[in-house]
Amino acid sequence: MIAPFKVSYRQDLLLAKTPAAKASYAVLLVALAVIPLVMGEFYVGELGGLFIFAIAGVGLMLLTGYTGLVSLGHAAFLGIGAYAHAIMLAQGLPFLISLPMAGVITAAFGVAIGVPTLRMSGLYLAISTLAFGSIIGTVLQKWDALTGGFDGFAVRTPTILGWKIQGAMGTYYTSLIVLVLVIWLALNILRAPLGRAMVAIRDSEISAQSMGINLAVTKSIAFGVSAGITGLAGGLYAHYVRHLAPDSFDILLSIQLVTIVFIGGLGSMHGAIFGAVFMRLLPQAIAMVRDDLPFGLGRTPGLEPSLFGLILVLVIMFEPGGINGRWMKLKHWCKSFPLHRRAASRRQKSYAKSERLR
Amino acid sequence: MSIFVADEIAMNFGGIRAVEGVSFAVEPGEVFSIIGPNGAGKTTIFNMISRIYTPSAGRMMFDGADITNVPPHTIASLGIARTFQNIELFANASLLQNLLIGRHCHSKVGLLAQLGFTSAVRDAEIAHREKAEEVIEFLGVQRYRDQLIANLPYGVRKVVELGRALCIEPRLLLLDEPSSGLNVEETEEMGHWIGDIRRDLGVTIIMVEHDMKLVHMVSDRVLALASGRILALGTSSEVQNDPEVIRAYIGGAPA
Amino acid sequence: MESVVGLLQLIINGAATGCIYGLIALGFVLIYKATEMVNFAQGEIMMLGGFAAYTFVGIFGMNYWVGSGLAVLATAAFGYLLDAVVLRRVIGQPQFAVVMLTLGLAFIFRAGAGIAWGYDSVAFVTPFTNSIVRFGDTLVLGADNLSIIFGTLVLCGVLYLFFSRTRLGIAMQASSQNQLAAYYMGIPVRRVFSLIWAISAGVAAVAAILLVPVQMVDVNSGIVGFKAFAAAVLGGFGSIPGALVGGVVVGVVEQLAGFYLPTGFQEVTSNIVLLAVLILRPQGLFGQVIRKRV
Repeated sequence: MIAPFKVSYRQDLLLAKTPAAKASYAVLLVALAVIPLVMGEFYVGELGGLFIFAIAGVGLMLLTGYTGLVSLGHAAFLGIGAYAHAIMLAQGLPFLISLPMAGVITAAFGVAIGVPTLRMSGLYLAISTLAFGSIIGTVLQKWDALTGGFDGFAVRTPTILGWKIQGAMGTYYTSLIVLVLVIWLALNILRAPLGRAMVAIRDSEISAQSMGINLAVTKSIAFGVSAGITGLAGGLYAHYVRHLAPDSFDILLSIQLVTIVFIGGLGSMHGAIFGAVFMRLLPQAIAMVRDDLPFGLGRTPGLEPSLFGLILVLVIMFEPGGINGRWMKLKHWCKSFPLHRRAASRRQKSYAKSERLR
Repeated sequence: MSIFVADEIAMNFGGIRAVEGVSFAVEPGEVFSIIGPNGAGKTTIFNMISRIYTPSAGRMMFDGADITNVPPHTIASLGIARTFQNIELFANASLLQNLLIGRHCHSKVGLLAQLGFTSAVRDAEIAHREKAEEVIEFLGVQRYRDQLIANLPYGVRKVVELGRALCIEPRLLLLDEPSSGLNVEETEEMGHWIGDIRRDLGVTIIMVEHDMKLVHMVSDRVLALASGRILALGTSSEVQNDPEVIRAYIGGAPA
Repeated sequence: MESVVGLLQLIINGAATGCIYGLIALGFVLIYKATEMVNFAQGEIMMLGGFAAYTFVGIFGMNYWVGSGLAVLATAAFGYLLDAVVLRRVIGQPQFAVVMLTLGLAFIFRAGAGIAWGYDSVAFVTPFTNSIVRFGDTLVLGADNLSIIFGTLVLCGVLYLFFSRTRLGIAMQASSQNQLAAYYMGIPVRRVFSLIWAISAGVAAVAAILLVPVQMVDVNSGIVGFKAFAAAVLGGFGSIPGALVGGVVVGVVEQLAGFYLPTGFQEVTSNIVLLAVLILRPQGLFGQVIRKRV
């Protein structure tokens, strides 16, 4: 593969930079559009769920992968989006209004949690978002009048322009459309000044500030956009589960969301998608081999989370670039074959860096 | 009229007086160096000018306006840029992206326009890119354009940080130890960049520096500090021969 | 008079729970001060300590004191190995990578405990189970809660003497303050860090054993670790006395909230305290503000 000649700066601002890339994304989109026509209902439903997690992954990637702010409470945003959307639907609002509204409401929550945490970084932010997530979880459980408490409530089947969004097919197509839209928005942010400001904050707050970046405003926007996108995923999630209950939005879900961006590879949009694919495929893979495992391991209730844990640990220890990092190395290996040098992908020797003073 | 005036500025950390009552004025177009032993308060003064610290006392004026209490992120759009002693680049972004972040203070597109990447945003981006390419050409770092900063050698990073500051199109440039970590040749090259920036771009420069050869090569005036106070102010040879300065550096009176 | 006694009982109970939070928070702080890592699996290590004690005392039928001592040693050894085998390898990675790593470990520990000890709650008889102590005519307190408070005080005294009087303790303090300088002074910094992990795991095991008379051990016991964050943050996340004081404050406030406020508030008390501290006084009660030098 030879990089194409660049003839204008405009070219660098295109989303698909080469004709080959353009073609492959088009093929992928067409394939995704026809899949429900040829595959069984179960797989279509699972793929719909995958898209929903990919949307949330994109939202969290903007915050964690590009702005460097870790959130261990994103399940709360998913929950807020889901409940807001479902409640508005129940009130009779049309889908096309209630879903974006759910995103906007969640974004407002995102800014609200973002503002007090502006001065925190790294560790404190992780802890306080964790606390925020668990408070929202409790509120969803205890506020009976609004949320139906522990029992939750069934989500109403909506219609768009007379077309009923129901079943696996309905969730599949709506989620796919929203996913494409959200990826487009995220890529727009990343090639615009806002995206660069986010990256600047991730890499050095102090010099970002000297470059004229308003830390407070940029972080709040990042929080808002990330939460808003996750809220959209939440709205769709409500249709995916069909019955909302507060215990689906717990710490475990938050951690799964962060795991998506970590396993996928921080700082890459491909990573968010790869992570979501992995996260949704793993339970299927486990289900397939469950009965063949020795010592009754297959019946252990903690099998799935512990495998997530194990994979997370292994990825962080041995491949901090995540799936995307591995993928880039593979591509590089193919390109340079047989002249590949091992050292090209070797990590530099690292030492303990202080992050107390960032 | 002086472009920058420090009027009796002071900085206390707890009980420690890092800088006490320092006053100086910088004229447009000059290269003004601040020298002094470690702990003299040089970088503290830079941090006050770039508003990372708020002075405990005194006032700072830039271009006739009081900047003592403006928020730190507005400094760049006023026209003050800086580099850092130990390089504070955005390590996981490309050289080009780093320079484009330097253009941030000139970007005026709204959030919604960015979300939709409207043609106004695209045109603004192309304009920023052209400016960044000018700087790339000025500093001759074309071949590193798309590389991550983390993969660049130290000397190149130093130049990139200079370039990022130039992208702000500053009227006042603060250089914090531009030669630190550079070898003799790189330091000499840095001296030429500084001369070019002053001559071709008309930028006023305040520089903190240890390398007296570099100071001598580029400075119009030199301010010598010790323990947060001014020892001497004058041309570089005047300051280098000042008995107070020699005593502060060497620790005894010259024979 | 009756209400005063009731209040006193609430406070003592709260303080006892708070001591547990404080001990776990102490583990966070020790590790954080030394290595700048935050161990999100600290609660799970405590849970493992509880199961270890259950194994020695409840299953093997050992004497309470002997079995508990062995459990503490075993957990400490586990902490040492955890650092030596896993955490040492991620030094230099960003802080949140370590956060995620320890979260992953927490899941593994939970599943591991489930496979080894099952998913039922377990307990064993201790000298403090179901006995009460009377003070005067009206004040009746459970020996279980008092033993927690007393045990915490003793442990803190021992740790204080260890860190201020022994060579190893002082080496640990030195390594926490300046790794490089300690290394040049001939302190084996890496081994010292592993020992710090061992100590904080041992402290977590003590907390688990002290908690046994009050609360049974099960795979989800580690959740208490999240509440201990509130204690550590309240104490300034770098201060050892701060962690303990923070723990007691959180425990008491939580107990009072459970009594005086509607249901649901008790569960979120620690989280609300945590957020309030981070927003209003991020440096905590005993912390100090430090900024990066450029």
